[in-house]
Amino acid sequence: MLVTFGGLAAFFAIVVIYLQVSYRRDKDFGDYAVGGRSFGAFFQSMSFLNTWYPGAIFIAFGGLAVQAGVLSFYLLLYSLLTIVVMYAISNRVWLWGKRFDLYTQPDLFALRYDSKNIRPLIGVIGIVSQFPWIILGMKALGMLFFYMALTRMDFDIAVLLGVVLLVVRQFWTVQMGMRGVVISDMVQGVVSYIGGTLLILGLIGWLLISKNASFTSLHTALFSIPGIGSKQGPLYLFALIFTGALGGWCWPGIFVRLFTANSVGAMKKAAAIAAPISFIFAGALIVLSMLAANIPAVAKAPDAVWFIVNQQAGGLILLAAAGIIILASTMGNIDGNIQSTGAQVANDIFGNYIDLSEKSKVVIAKISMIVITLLGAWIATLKMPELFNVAVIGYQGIIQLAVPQFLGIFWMKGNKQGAWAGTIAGFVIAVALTLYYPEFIGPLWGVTSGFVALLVNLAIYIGCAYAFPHTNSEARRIRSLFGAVENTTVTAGSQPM
Amino acid sequence: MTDEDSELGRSLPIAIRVWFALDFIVCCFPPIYLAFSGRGSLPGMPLSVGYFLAAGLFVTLSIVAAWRMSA
Repeated sequence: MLVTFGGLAAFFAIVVIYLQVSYRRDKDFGDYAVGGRSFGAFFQSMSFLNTWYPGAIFIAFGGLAVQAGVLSFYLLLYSLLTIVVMYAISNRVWLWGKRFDLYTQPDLFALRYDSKNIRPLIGVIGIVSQFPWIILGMKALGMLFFYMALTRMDFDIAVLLGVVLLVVRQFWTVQMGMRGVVISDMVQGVVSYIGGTLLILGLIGWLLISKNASFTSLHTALFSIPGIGSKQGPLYLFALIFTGALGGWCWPGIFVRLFTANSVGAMKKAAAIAAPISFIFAGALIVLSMLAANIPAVAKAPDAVWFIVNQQAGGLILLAAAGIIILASTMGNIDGNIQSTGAQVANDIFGNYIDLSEKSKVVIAKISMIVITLLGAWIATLKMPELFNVAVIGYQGIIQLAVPQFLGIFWMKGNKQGAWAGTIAGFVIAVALTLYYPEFIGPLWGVTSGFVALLVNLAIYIGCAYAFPHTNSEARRIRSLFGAVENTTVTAGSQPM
Repeated sequence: MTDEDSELGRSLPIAIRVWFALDFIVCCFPPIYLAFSGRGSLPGMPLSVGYFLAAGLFVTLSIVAAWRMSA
C-alpha cells in the first residue's frame, strides 16, 4: 500500500506545488471565470481532454468493453465528433465571447436571443444536470482507493477518503478559478492522456505477447452491433453517438473551454491536437479492455479491468501508475465542473438580478464553489443507489440545450420564443421519458429519451422561428452578430451584465 | 468592415464542410455501421473493430485537415 498510496500522494503534491508556484491574483471576474482568455493551443487541448474524459471512464467503459464488446466504441466516435463540433463552432463562439465579454454558456444565449432572463434558465439547467456527475466523480475515486489498498479497505472508507482528497483539492480551484483549472489540466492531461495512452499501448503489447490474448479467442457476441431483432434496436448506437456528440457542448464545464483560448486559431489548433490523442487514447482503451476480457479475474470483476491488468502486468508500480492516471483525470473533470458551476451561480443567477461589482461576483463564485463542493461531498458519502439514474436523467435533459445553442450559432432565424419553449418542452419530455425508458426506447428501435425530446424541441424551435418572425431591428441586430452587416451595432440590452 | 466582422462571416471551406458531414454519416448512419457488425472473415481483426477504428481515423483526419487548411 505504501507504493500505491505513496505514488498518489507524490502526484497530488506535484500538482499542488505547480499550482502554488503559478498563482497569480485575478484582476477581475473575467480573469477568474475564463482565465483572461489567455491560453494557447496546447493548454486548451489538455484542458478539453481533462474535462471531457473523467477518471470514471477507465472503470465504466473498461467494464462495458469487457461485457458488451464493440458497442463501447461509441465512446471513441462521439468523443471525436464532439471535437468536430468544437472546430465548427469555435470561430463564432470565441469571437462573440471576446467582443461581448461573455463568460459563461448562458451569456451566449442571452446575447444571441436578446433575452436577459434566459440566462438563469440555461444556468439552472446546466447546474442541476451537472451536479449529480460531480457526486459520481467523487464516488468513483472511492473505487480507486479501494483498489489502491489492494481491496483490503472497507469500500465506504475508500469513498470517504476519495471525497476528502477532492475537497482538499478544491481549495486551489476556489482560490485560482479558471486559471488554476487550466494550468492543472495541463499537468493532469499530459499524465492521463499522453502518459495514459503510452501505458495502454504497452499493456496491449503485454497482453498480446505474454498472455497470448487475441480477438479470436473472444465470444462472437462481443463483435455484434445492436441491429434489427436485438434487445436495444438498430437506432441505439446512432442515438448514443449523435446525442453524445451534440450534447458534449451543452455541459457548462466543457462549453466554457471555448472562452479560455487566446484566439480562434488556438481553439482550432487545440482541436487538431486533441483529436489524434483522443483517437489513440479512447480506441486503445477499448481494445485493451476487450483483449483482457478472458482473464479470469477480469471476467469476475469487469469494472476493475484497468486495475487488474496493470497489477498483473507490472505489480504495485504499474498499479500505482494506473491510480495516478485515474486521479489525474478525475481531478480535472471535477475541478472544471465545480468551477463552471460557481461561475454560473455568480454570473447567471445572482448577477442576472443584482448589479454586482467584479469583486462581488468573484466572492459569490467562490462561496458557491465551496457550497457545491461540501454538498457534493456530503451526498457522495450517503448510500443513494438511485443517484446514477438521476445523473442519466440530467444528461438527457441537458442535451436539450443543443437545439437553441447550435441553431442559434448557425441559423439567424431562430428566436427567443423558440429557445424558451423548445428548451423547456424538451427538458420536461426528456425527464419524463427517461423515468420510463432510462436506457433506450424499445418500441422506437432503440433511440434514447433525449433524442425523442430533441426532435420535439427542434420542431418547436423551427415552428416558432416562422410563427414569430424577427422585427426589423432584431433582424439587423442578428445580422450584425453574424458579421453580415450594414451600419448596425448590437444593442446594449443584449450585453451580459 | 473590421477584421472581426470578416472573421465572423467566414465559413469553413466546402471540402471541409462536406468531410465533417461525412464524419457524422459514417459514424451515425445505421445501414453503414450495421453492415460492419460481427466478426467478419479477416483473420485477427474483427470487422466491427476495424470499422470503429477506421471511422475514428476518418474523423480524426478531417479535423487535422481542417486545421491544416486554415493554418
